[in-house]
Amino acid sequence: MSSEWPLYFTHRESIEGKGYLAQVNMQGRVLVARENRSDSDLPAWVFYGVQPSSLSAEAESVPAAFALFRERLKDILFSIADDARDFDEFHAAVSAFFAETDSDTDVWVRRAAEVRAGQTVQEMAVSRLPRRVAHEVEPTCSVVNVSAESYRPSPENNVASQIFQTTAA
Amino acid sequence: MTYRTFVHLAEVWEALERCAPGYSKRHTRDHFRVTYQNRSYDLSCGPHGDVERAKIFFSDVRKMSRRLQIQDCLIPLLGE
Repeated sequence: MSSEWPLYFTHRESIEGKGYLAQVNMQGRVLVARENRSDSDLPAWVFYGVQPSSLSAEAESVPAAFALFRERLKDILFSIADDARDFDEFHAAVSAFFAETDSDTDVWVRRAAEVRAGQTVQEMAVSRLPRRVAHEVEPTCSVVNVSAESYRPSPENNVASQIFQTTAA
Repeated sequence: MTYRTFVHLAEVWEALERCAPGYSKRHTRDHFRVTYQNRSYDLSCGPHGDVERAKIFFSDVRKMSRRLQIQDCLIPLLGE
């Protein structure tokens, strides 16, 4: 029985940079694992980033780990804004950060194939998550300069932070 | 195999000396940017007073090792 599950997430963050305000919208992938710890009776829930890959977060429940994951993501975006000279540089750096991969990508792909082939998810903390078919949650990262005169705010742009499981085709 | 929840930052630096010779680190906000062979990872320390006494989630160190492609060397050094 698997103790790691391929999930999708959505998240939006507002970042102030040097002379601009940016909205970063991510629809990404994470590998969520339930791991035992030698110094704790409770299992740890770990979000290993897949897209973006260069971050992780751990807590005692899936919602708590996802909250910490979003905080880590925000910290990294703040750091990118600290270094970027202007919006174009920030945009390029965030896009590059989102595109980085590591070995967790291969694990995510294998686990997703197992789920789509019909393997059931036994772990309740994961099985009760909302489901999406793959084409509804293709990984994307958009970086918009909302301080530009051409930007038109709209409630249609609001994005809730959520996690989803993949589903059989 | 099970692992500890946290490792001390000093242990991480020692392991990187062995597994990522020539690596660089830069302290920014609440993390250290570790770079090795043109790959970087922001290792989260969390808010604290004494940076060098920080405890790091083992899972974050493991993720870093995957990003830097040194997991086969680093994880056995820090695991129990």
